[in-house]
Amino acid sequence: MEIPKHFIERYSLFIKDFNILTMPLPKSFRVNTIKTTVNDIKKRFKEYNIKITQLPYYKEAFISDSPEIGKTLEHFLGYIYSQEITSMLPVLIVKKELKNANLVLDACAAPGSKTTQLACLTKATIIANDIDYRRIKALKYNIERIGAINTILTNQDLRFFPNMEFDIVLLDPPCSSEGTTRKNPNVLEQWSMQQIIKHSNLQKQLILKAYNLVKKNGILIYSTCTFAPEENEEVVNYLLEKTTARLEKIIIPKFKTYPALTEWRDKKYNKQIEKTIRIIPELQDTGGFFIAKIKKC
Amino acid sequence: MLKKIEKKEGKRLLNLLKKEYDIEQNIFKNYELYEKNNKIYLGPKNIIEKAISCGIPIYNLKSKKPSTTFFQSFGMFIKKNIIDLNKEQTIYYIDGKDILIVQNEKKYVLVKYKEFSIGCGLIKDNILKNQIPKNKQIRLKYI
Repeated sequence: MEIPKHFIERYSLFIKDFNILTMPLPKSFRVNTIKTTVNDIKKRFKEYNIKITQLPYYKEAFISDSPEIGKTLEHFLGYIYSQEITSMLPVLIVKKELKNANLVLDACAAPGSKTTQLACLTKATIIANDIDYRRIKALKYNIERIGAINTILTNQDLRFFPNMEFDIVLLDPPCSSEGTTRKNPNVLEQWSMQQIIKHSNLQKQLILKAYNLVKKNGILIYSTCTFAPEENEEVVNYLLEKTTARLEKIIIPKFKTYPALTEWRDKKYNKQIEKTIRIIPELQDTGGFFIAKIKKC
Repeated sequence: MLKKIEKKEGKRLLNLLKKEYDIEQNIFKNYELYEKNNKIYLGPKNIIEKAISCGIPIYNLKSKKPSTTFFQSFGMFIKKNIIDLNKEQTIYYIDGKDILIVQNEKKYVLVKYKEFSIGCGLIKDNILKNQIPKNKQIRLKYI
């Protein structure tokens, strides 16, 4: 896979090692605590002689080089769920708030990684929504596999979602996926500025609607798996311009993050944007990601 | 369309599960039963009008078959109509194969391996007929 020259020029401000974008991603999984415990999984994998390493910042998550994870009884029974590390972080950030939540929305939920993770961490009712009916099938399969009873599936364009009030809304909208090249190398073949702008325009509409669905003092998590500031800082900045939203500082103990950009090209962003985080692959051998934690005021 | 099952019908279904599998009814008290296309779902107490599905499917009204998903989630509460497989049989079963057994009475049973609830099986003519959905079948290497 060759990385386009224009891509390197564009992102060399925060990516120093572009080679890592062509390397395979370490395999990671999460323990489904609805059905089993972390200790049982550790014990069983030790018996299998499959090496797994617990993550210091998330004790329910493990990485493993073994290609054999999918051939275990635990995989079949839905005791474990394969999920990329960065994709686990948006839910991890609201772990505390989830304890008192009654209603949670996963706004662009398919294939269900975050929905099933939410179900492990809350007794709240979770509405898992996705616009794409074909992807709903995978979402339904994963919810059933994990045994997440407290879930409701909807197939709505988020922009026209019925007016409701949620304690927490997760918005991980369609994006240019630049941070997933280690898993999907063909992302760079389709990479273009037109795609970035197209996504950015849609994301601005979605973040406004998602914010409207959060109840007062509730939390909106906005995340993408892309590097483009137009799809990250600029989208959150747009929300700050249009509403009274306030950003909350994100701290993930023992996890290295890169500060968000407060300006990009000719644009200067609201100072609050400093509270959002970027995850750069070379920092921790992961994919690329962006997360903002937004409080409704 | 997903619709809430009326109290009386819900009670009848739970009684049926109690009779067939001796499963305690109070484990369902925090949930509600719903129906769509002859499938019974166990889901949250309240759903919204736009819901297309919820929770997990537990029972098929047409075939009168409990789902593998239901047995995998609630198998530990089932005390009746259980068949225990050994390691080799379990590997075959999860791979989608039928198992020869010495039981004749036609019925759906919970298939277990040690303490693990593997899923649903159909006993018929001395065969445990495989009921693991095709998209869940795998060739296990570690058990």
